[in-house]
Amino acid sequence: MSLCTLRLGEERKHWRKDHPFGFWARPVKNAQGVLDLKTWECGIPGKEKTIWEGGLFKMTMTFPDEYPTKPPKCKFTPPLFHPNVYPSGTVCLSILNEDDGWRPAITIKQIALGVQDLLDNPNPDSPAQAEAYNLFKKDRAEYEKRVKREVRSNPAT
Amino acid sequence: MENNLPIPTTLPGVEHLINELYKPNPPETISQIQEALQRLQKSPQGWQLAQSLLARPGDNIKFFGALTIIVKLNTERLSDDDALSVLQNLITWLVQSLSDGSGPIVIRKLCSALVTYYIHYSHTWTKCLRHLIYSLGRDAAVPIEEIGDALPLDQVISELSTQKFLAASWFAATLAEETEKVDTKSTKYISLHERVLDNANDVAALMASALVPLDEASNIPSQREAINCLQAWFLYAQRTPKQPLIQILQALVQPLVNCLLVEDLYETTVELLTDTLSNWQQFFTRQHINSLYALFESEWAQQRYQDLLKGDFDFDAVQFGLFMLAFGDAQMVEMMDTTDTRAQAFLAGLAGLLTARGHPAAEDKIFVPALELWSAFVENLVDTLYSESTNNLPWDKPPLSQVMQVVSHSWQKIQYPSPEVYNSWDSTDKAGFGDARKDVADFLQAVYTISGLPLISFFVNLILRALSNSAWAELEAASFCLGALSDCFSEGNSYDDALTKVFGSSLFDLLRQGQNIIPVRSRQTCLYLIERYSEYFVRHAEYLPAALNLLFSAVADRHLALPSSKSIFTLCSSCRKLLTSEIDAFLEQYSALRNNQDLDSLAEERVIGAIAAIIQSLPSEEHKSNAVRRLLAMVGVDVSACLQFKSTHGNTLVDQNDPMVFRAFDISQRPTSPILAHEVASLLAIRALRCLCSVAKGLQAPVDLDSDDESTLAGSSRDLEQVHADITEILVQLKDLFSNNAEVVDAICTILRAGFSESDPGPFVFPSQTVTELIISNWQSRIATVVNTASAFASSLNAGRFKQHAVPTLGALLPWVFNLLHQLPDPEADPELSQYGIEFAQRVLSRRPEVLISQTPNVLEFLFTFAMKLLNGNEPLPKAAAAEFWTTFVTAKSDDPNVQSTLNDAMLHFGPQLSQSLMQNIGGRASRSDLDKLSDPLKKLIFQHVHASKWLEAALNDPNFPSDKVSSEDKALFVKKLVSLRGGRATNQVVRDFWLACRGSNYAYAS
Repeated sequence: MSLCTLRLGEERKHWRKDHPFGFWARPVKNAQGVLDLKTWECGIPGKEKTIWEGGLFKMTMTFPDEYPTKPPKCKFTPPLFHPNVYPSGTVCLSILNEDDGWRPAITIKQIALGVQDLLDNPNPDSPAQAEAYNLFKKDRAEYEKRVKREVRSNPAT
Repeated sequence: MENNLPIPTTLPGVEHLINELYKPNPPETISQIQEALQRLQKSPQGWQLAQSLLARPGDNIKFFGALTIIVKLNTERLSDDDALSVLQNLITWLVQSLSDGSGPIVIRKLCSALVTYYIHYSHTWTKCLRHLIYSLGRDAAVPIEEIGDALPLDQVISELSTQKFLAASWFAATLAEETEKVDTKSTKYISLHERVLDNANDVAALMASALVPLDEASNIPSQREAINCLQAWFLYAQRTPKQPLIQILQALVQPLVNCLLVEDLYETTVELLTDTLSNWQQFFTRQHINSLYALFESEWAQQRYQDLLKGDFDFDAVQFGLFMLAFGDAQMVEMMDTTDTRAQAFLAGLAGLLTARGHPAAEDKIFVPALELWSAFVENLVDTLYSESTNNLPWDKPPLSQVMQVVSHSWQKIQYPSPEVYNSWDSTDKAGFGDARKDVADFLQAVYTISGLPLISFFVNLILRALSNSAWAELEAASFCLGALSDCFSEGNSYDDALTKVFGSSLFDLLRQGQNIIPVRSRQTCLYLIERYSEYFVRHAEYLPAALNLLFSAVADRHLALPSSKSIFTLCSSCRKLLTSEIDAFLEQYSALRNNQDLDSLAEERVIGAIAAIIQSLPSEEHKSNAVRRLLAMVGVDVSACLQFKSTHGNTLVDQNDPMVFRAFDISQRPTSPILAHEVASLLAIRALRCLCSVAKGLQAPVDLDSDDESTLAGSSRDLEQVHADITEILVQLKDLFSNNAEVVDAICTILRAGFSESDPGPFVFPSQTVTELIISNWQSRIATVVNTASAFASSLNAGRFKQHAVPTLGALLPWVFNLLHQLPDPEADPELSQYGIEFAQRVLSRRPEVLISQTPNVLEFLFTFAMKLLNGNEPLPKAAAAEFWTTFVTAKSDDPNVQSTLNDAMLHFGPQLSQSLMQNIGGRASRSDLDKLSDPLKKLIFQHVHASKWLEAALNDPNFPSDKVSSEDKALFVKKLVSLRGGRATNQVVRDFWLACRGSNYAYAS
């Protein structure tokens, strides 16, 4: 088994043992019903007492063969209205950037929590989509309205 | 902070400061004190200070003295002789402190200081523990030369007082903990670890003296400390595995297991055993395993097990369960073998753990960890059964009956309690229970791999039984489980017969009778089951009407509106072809739903979208237009009301019980007093437009359907023209009145976009002229969104249907976009508009360069200058868009020689400027995250243009180049590298390195 799959097996075990409340994450099954450890689906809940509360957003993590040397790619499906999410749904976050904050020791749990934290704390220095970014900067009321609509379309229960 | 405290010059002054440090003081005072004391510790007087402090009374003072010694040992290098005298002093202080009533913090700190000494000077103190024990025994620092292996250690240990034993244990434990942290690979410390091993036998002797007392009288504090010490050594041995050490420690396992039976030692012992079983199974020998089996079979263990199952979830009880699970984890392979009776009996015990009293997470604290073990067990089983080496299995039959037992326990455990009980839980318990249910779903999916149909049948039968017993919680749980298995179904192993038992049962009838019969939660889960198995209904159209009728009736129920509308959308969308004959019934259902005052807006959007999907499948244009017109008529009711409210005076109020107010506000947002008519109007506009968005999207041709339909002839019928006119009228009216509302603008643009990607005519596939007129008309807000829509439109124009309109359309849109950009006071005043504007230009340039080039020279000059400013600017997204624009420009090609010649001229004109901009950016002005985008135009420039290297060199040597950290040789080398890569992928790395060099290497990890 490759380092990548060994590590992902461990990650799965750790996640099962200890994952933050309201989150879920698991490898997907391929057409033959076999687990594909390199592709995970997960649900990122909005934090309590933020405008994201009550939402649960589906995200796919794709792990490259070089994982954990290289970080996984995280992508919201469908794409999420958020300043740091590309129109394709890909999340722009320093800990997911190979040249920036990624370290092989970062766990799936830390990624999930990092993305959750990003929801209500967008990073205005690295915008990924124009709409959410500009509304966030210039029209907070409209921005919040849009976020609440996202939450309603992606309810946690 | 510059207001440093002066360093005290007298001992009482220092003591005063130390005492202040431990008093409740404001944080800034504390940090000032700390800083002053640290300066003192590091000063040359530090040694002397430590010595004086350790001779003074007071635990804090002594502690600080010991701490100072540690600081000194870690920061200064002593000769061996000096070091040894420090060691003698330390031991002397330790002996004194043990007799003068000093507190444990002092003793422990002195032990830490001794370990710090050992780490730096182990060669002077090879038999450290032995020497320390002898010194403690004699109440004095014994000369090191007197200590040899021949001395009878056991005797001395047995005579140590409890206090002294504890001190020796602390030292031994700290020795393992601290040396474990020291880098084992560093050559400086190789001999350190070898010397640590030389002390292992002495450590074991010390531990054994407490764990296996010679006389009957056991000494709990000593034993507890011995177990703690053992834990440190287990960890050390695991990290730095050495066979002799492992053997020494293995001999202590049996005495440790015996400690479980001592009540006061149980907690410490069970934790150590559990941790070690979980993290280091290999440590245990066959003999240990047998002894643990015997332990679990003993009456003592059975009692603890029963307590746990009866609902005792105190720490100790749960700890016992976790101990069992850790042992199970270590016995995974053995437990797969059904002929291993001992392992099978234990496995049965693990299954039983899932029957503890209470609800998972809320009360039952062992369920989730136990299920986790079972998931791992089943996954291992799957791996073993289906791996390549299956032939070598020592057993032929997996313990499937035990697994099915667990399935049966789990579905019972995830049944919801009564609403009263559930509502009494706090949010953590509710979330925990929900998570436990998801864990069960995961587990079932794994079981399915080995079980298949019997698992499906199991839940089907449970559902039928629950229905006949009116056992709704059971129905809910069984439906949840069956729903979880829908993911496992793939074509070819369809179990439709089993599912037909459920969907052909009385289930739908009962569900339709509403809440009085089946409680909300159970209904919710059953509806969810329909959605999960929507593929089944595609194959079994006979049950589709019943399912849809049920779902429609549920949309009216506010608790079920959202999930059931979602199911309606899924079913109608995937079964659209089967439902076309029922379109009238659907339209009537929708019409009836609209009479429901509480109809949720999102649910309505889904329903109307679902109906549109069926309309999309209708056989003829005429049918489609008719059906769409009926939908429009219903949406038109909202539009008329909206226009009417808008035509009133600005301060007109509407009664909060007006039916249109109910449509304007979802139930949770309803006003409680009369409300402004204009506000109602804009909310109605939004609701109507959102419904139209759903219709427009629903009418889009599905991508995955076979395109065996005969494509309808191009050219639109009169019917269709009328529909276009009707929709456009609504859009224009609402836009004129409400385009100051961002949501209105968004919705209109979404409606327009829905038609762009369609290849066939349709109600929302408007003529390009209509789209153009609407786009370039007057908007009062969110103009950027409209420009972005224009961009999408420009991209779609190359598709067959619009091709002939491309030139006139772009010819109309371009000046409009440029005019908007022109009105900006500067390019970064509205970054969103600038970005979309430049993206629009880029798309025109890439698809129809001749249209762009045909603009007047003034306009072109403006556009290119604008794009250059964005490239030089600081707004990341417009900057990226500008980079893409320039990339397209550099590679733009045209078949028309006139156009090509203009492009060439423009390139010669802008090439130097572009090079200048790129080099300024890469020379340090851009941020790191811009670099990849900026590399694109650079790569194309080098690949396409002969002058590129000349331009780049000139740009790099420009006096305004932002960095003075790179030499002219570096710059020349940079250009050389770029040129030799010929625009290849490696360019990005070269760009990155150069940027780093220009910024200075201290930027390497910042950005």
